Amino acid sequence: MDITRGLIAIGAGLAVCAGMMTGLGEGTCAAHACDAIGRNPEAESKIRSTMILGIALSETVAIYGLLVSILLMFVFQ
Amino acid sequence: MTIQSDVYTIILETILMGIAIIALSKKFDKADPMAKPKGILTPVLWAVETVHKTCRDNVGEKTAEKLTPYVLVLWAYIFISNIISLFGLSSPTSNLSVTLLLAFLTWLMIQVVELKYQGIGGYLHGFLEPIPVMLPMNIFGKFSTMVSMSLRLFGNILCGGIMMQLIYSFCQWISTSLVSLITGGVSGTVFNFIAPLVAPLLHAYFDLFAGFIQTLVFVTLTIVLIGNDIPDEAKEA
Repeated sequence: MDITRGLIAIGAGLAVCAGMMTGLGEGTCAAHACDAIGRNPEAESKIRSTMILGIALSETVAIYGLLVSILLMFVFQ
Repeated sequence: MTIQSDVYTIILETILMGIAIIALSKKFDKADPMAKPKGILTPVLWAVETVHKTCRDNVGEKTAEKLTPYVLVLWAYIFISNIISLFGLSSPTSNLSVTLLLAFLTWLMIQVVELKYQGIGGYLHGFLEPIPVMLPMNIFGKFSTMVSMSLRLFGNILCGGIMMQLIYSFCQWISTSLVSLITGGVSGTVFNFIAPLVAPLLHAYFDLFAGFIQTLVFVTLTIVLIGNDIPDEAKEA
């Protein structure tokens, strides 16, 4: 077995670590949205759409890590 | 050189959408504007009204007239591309060329709106703000919208497709091992009977839910980013 393949696998695993803090950020976002809905429930639909937009934006970082890892796995075989 | 399977889907979807749009506009031409809309016209009218309302709230009455058709086509194209993998085709949005082109169109619109409302001098001066040293940052910042928008959509849809492929091959492995366990080591291709039990829920998540959310994000970002560059007094008029 070539050592390069193992190194590529380690690199792909490390690249996915970009999503480590994204979970924390998204959880914080959802928690604050819950707070906001508790404070004024009539604005629920507006809060929900804003929350989804914010979560999707912060997810970008994780997606970049995933892309790098996919490139490593499928391009440099 | 091999042609990727996405390319066929792109051509197929573009032709089908073109036919559908032409047929719909023929239908609208024939319909009586005073009568109650019926059949397929009702949901289409609802979609046009909803998108027009969202555009009007963000970019103002005058720009909304021009922006609504683009946003509607964007909605239809991205959403159909995202859920087309339910029919066993590879989705066009898992090809970076498609998402980059869509993001480029949005980016071009943002630049046109900025040039229109700030003038060439103001547009060029924007590169030197807040201090002239920031020039390289500002140039990268201009293009980052395009890159991040295209990669967000592309990454989400591509990763959904890859996850589904992994799950299918895992289910294939489980069914093969189960059958060989029961029959006592008979090798050969086995029908993938685990996948129909597991896959539908995951398809609903990766294709329908993620596809819908990513469409919503792309379209909302398009409207909001264009609306950001229009001054409030122009929106009122």
